[in-house]
Amino acid sequence: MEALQNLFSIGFQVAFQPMNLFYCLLGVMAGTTIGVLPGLGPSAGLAVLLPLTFGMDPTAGIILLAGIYYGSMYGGSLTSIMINTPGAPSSVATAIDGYQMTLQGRVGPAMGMDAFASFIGGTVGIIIFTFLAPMLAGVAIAFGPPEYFALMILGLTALVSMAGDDPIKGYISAFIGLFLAMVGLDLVTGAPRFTYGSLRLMGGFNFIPVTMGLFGISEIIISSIGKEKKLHIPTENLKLRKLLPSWQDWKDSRIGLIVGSLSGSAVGVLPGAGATIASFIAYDSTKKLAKNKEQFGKGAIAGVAAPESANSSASILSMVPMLTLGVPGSASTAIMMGALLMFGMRPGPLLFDNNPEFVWGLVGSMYIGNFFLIIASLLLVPIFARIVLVPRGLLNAVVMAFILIGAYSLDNSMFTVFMTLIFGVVGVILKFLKIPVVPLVLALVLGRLMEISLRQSLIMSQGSAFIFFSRPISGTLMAISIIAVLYPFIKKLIQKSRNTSKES
Amino acid sequence: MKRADLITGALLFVVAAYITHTAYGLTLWTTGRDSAPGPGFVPFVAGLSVMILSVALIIRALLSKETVNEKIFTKEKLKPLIIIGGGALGASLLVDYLGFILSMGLMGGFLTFALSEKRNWIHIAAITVIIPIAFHFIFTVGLSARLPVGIFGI
Repeated sequence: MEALQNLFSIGFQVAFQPMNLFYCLLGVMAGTTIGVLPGLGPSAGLAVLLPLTFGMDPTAGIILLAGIYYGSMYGGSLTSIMINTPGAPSSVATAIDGYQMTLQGRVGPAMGMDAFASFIGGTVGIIIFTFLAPMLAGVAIAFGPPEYFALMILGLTALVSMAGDDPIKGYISAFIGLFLAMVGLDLVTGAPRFTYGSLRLMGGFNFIPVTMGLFGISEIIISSIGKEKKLHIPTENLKLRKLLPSWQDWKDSRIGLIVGSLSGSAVGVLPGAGATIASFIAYDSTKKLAKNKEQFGKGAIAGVAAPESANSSASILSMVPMLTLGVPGSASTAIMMGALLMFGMRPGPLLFDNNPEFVWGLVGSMYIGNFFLIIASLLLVPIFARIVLVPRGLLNAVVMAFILIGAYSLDNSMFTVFMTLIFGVVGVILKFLKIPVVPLVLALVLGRLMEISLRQSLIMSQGSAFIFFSRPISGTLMAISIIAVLYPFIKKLIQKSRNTSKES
Repeated sequence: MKRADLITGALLFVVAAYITHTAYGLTLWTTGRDSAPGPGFVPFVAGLSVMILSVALIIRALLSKETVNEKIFTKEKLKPLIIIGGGALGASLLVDYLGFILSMGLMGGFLTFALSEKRNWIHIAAITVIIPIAFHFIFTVGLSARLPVGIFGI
């Protein structure tokens, strides 16, 4: 009940302030546009638009960023349905049946159900968020340095194991990020580390130019490779009347909506799992439960409803570990956490007690933002759809200029601009070599906090690493982390033994 | 990826060995009452881990049965990297002379010209003019950002 009281007495009061309403609407619209744009996903969108929040009030800033985040998660699915080009990995599952519906001339109901599923999943996600986040923060208040260290280790290992195809390259990326986080003055002794006498490097690598380079610039370069596709957008079928799903469509989608919203919420809160895994789990589970299994993959509307509601609820719930524990589980939430640190906020359990207006204002804004999103998606779909037709060269030129000016305004220094460019090139090379960049960014954001927790824990235990395994919570988290490290190798072994038994 | 992984593994090993060696020179562990990791500990662990992982990458590449070597840096892939990277670098170097906003406009025009398959001169001219105007209003007027001005005073 306290959660509801806080939501109504603080959350909505903050969220309904005219400027916050404006930033919420701006975030949702900008996010949806970014989601639709080819090549730019939620992480790149957040990295590119982060400079807009410089100098903003932290609550308004996080409301804007959250709007961009869930707006872009939705926007990515529009291109999945229309042109079979997912704007983000979390929209891949939506493309399976969504694009088939477009081919069958049912793009209207597909887009309409996509919007409603996003709204329903998002609302379920926010309701669960409202009650779960304060509960988790209450539990986490008892956490000491060993628990925090174990939690951050779990966040990193889970991300590498669950989100990546190649664990070796995933861990290489994470350790590079950890090393980059160590550059600069040591917080305890003041000793310079890998600074080579440069005053600029004494403060360490700021995560904003790193993310703008790794996600923004590298995405622009990668999306410019190859020939531009000629697209046909069926805008004639995107009028409001044609978007509304029929009664039969609703009937066919109800299981998908329930399964998607609930499974998305459950998976989204886990570090490393995220909306992509949630959307596939929802799709598979709904297919198994459906009466018309054979229709899946051939244009079943439940195949749009399930992954999209899961995508939406998972993206909302993925903010829970970042806000309550200070451990982001994905690239987008890592960028948001970096932004919070930039605002001078320290994500973690005390955030709820120390900054209730900030946290509950964000929660309130997500309810409102979800309404903005459904209204915008139903009324403005034809406009969003046309954004896809913007020539690639034109789009990339504007985004590139935006990134550079954003990098400069961070600290009025050309050094930051050059650093952003260098990380852009590094990002492209890493992508060519199939080394994931997300673990690097997460380790960069968490690196210093991890080091402090490690040192504090070992001071407590007089140098014994046994402290991480002897305390129940940190011990459990470390055990799960070890399983997460071994999981990809065990999975490969099982697959190999299955293949050999099949062959024999 | 076989050859690429071999080269990546070897390069990473060298860099990681350097990091590990340098970190070893910093204090790894402080002794006394508050015995704890020193400033070199985490970089040392990070460097050592990358060394081990790069050896694993090399061994995996050597054991790989892959016969076709996919080219990583093809002409097609490098073209946008050179255009965008070069364009951005050139514009950044012009900032001292033309100011930030005009340099970004020129970069926008150049990138639209170089990245478009069908060159539309109206688009190119529009981007060159619109970027400076829009950015002036968003950043200088709206967000009160102090951007370097050039010889034209903007």
